[in-house]
Amino acid sequence: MIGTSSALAGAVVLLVLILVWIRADSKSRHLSAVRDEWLPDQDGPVEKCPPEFVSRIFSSQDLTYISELESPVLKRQFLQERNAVALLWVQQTTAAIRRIMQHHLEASRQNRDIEVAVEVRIFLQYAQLRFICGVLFFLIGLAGPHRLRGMALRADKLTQRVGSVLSEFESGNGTPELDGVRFS
Amino acid sequence: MFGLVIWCSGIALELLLLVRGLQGKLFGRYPVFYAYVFFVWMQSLLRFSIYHLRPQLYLPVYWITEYLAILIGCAVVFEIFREGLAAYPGTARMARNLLAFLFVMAVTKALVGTWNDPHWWSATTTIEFERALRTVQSLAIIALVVLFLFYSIPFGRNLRGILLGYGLFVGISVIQLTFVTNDGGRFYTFWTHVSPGSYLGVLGLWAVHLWSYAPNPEPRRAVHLEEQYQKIAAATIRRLREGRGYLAKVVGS
Repeated sequence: MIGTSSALAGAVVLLVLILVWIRADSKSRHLSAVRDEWLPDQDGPVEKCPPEFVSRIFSSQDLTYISELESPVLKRQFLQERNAVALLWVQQTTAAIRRIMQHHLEASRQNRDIEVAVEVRIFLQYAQLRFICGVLFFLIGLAGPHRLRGMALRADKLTQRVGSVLSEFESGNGTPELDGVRFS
Repeated sequence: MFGLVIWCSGIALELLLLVRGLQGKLFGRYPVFYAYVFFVWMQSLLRFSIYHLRPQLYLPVYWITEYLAILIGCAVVFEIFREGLAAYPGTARMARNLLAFLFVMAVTKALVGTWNDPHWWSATTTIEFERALRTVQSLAIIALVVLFLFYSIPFGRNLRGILLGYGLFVGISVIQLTFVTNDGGRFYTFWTHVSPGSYLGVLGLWAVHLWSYAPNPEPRRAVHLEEQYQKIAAATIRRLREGRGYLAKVVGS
């Protein structure tokens, strides 16, 4: 039978979810007019700015230049500004990703041919992107955008190293299960 | 005395709901829900009279009517699903799959429980069995609300009230049944006062939301239904992939 704790947890989740639903429902009614304003634009691309331009926020070039000026006030202001711009960029990208998903949900909820497996796949892809954005937001707040790039590069190198070790292991053992697995 | 007041207020509120349902022609719109309210009203009257005239029969009458109410309650959940998703066949299909999955999980858990302990049925009390049924019911409502939230399904005042009230009722029932089976001392005593009061709250909520007919809002904008699902899904997958590539390019370049 269902245990006491799981029954209680289920009941609490239900009550909390009902509260969330009331909030979301009233909010959506308030925002319906606002939402309609950006509806025609929602097919726009995620990248409002070219990546080469945005990557400059995460680059340490400007910070090196400011550091050479040896002005602590200027450096502090620069870091604050960069942090704010990077966080805004993450928020805008998150909003763009959410719009893509919203557009998909609005189209698929009325479509009889909907496929559960495809919907699950899309949801996982979306959840992964939202997770990455969340982690980016957290790390920018914690370490700043210029250190983030270094961390990303280090993580990339590490995964490449793990990948090469695994591919050596794979070629040594000839495990067909690992066929098609990519490490990037 | 306090208990009697709550009992009588409950019967009066249920009657008010039925009268308003008749006046506002809501019976035809939500037949299962009103059948449920009618059943609960009859059940309250029956229990009330049995309790005062034939107290020795109260327990069997209580449990029979309680399980019948759970059964009709399941039909209410089905009505919410049917009415709420009538204009959204895609979400309805997702909901059917999700509910079927939950049902299979619940049956599997019960079968595994029986396999591990063949005598659990005789050891389980009626309250524990009701708690299990209510928990499954609450899981079904959770699944539906998650889908409604995820697909941003707009709800009319009537249907929102039915779901809100029934969801609260089921959630509170599970908490109450958990503390009854645990015999949690002082908190249990406190809860025995909270629970009837919360039921009155649920009835009040239904009365407010179902005072008159309010249709479900139409889908916000016309979607090109001729557009094939595969095309829509492929475009979304491509755009999400592009988004990921963009993020990687910005941070990693």
